[in-house]
Amino acid sequence: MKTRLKILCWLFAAAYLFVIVYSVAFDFIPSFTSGFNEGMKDGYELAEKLKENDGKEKKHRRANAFGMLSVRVIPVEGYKTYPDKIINEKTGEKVMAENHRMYLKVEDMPQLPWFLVAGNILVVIISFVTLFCLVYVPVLSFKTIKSIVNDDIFDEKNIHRIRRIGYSLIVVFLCILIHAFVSEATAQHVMSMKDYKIVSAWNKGDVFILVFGIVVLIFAEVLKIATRIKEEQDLTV
Amino acid sequence: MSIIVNLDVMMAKRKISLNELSEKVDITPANLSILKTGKAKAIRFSTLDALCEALECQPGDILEFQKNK
Repeated sequence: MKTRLKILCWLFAAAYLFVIVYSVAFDFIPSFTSGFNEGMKDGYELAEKLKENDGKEKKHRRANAFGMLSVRVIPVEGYKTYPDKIINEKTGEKVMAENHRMYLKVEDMPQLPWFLVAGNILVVIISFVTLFCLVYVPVLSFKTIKSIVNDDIFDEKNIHRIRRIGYSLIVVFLCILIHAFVSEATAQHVMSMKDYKIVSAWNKGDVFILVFGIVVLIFAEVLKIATRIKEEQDLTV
Repeated sequence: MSIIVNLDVMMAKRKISLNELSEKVDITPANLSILKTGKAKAIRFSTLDALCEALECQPGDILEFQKNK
């Protein structure tokens, strides 16, 4: 029984490690590098403009701070109506296309109302919370796996770790939800498109984070009961 | 807990040591010590049976109920 559990733990650790390495190598590093380069470029351009305009550009640039938006869109006519056309470079033909997600960079942001500014500041703060959780969850997971592999399953520390994993996942889901809501509200305030309507940016798949978080919390409670039974069993003469 | 284990009293009455008793009832001295010090959460009928036989007493001589104040 324990061999099977250990094999499953090793498989989980390997799969989790693969996901982390893959997302860092193919998602996080390229995204961070491009963002860093763009920030450097923007900062350099702003400094140049400030020099030329004697500080007048400053206010305008501040308004552009929230100009990068990630939104989910659906065609106004409905799904599978293919409002776009792209050229197939292999045949030269026009191919009908449909977008469901867009990354927008709005250069001339209008002045946002106070609640959207507050919302965007909140998004910046919660992105740090999300980052912390995304680092904390693997750390806790690997500690728990190590403990299970070392035959130390029914331990209070494991219960606390698993509970923290559950809470972290729920926090990540809430952060995603807030980010999606603020992005949608900002995008709808700033722009509208002819063929598409902007909808909330969260995916149905994100709900699995919430479901998984709750399942993990349930598992923690089951483990707590099991630990208590084990203690009683150990103290039965 | 309101169940009091009077094993030490019975052992003193029968003038038997922990190691001797543990050999007679086939329980480890560590487990018998848990029972003697009142740390045990439960006791098997088979253990109680063996203890009563070894100490020539009734279960009520080993276990006692006291109301919580």
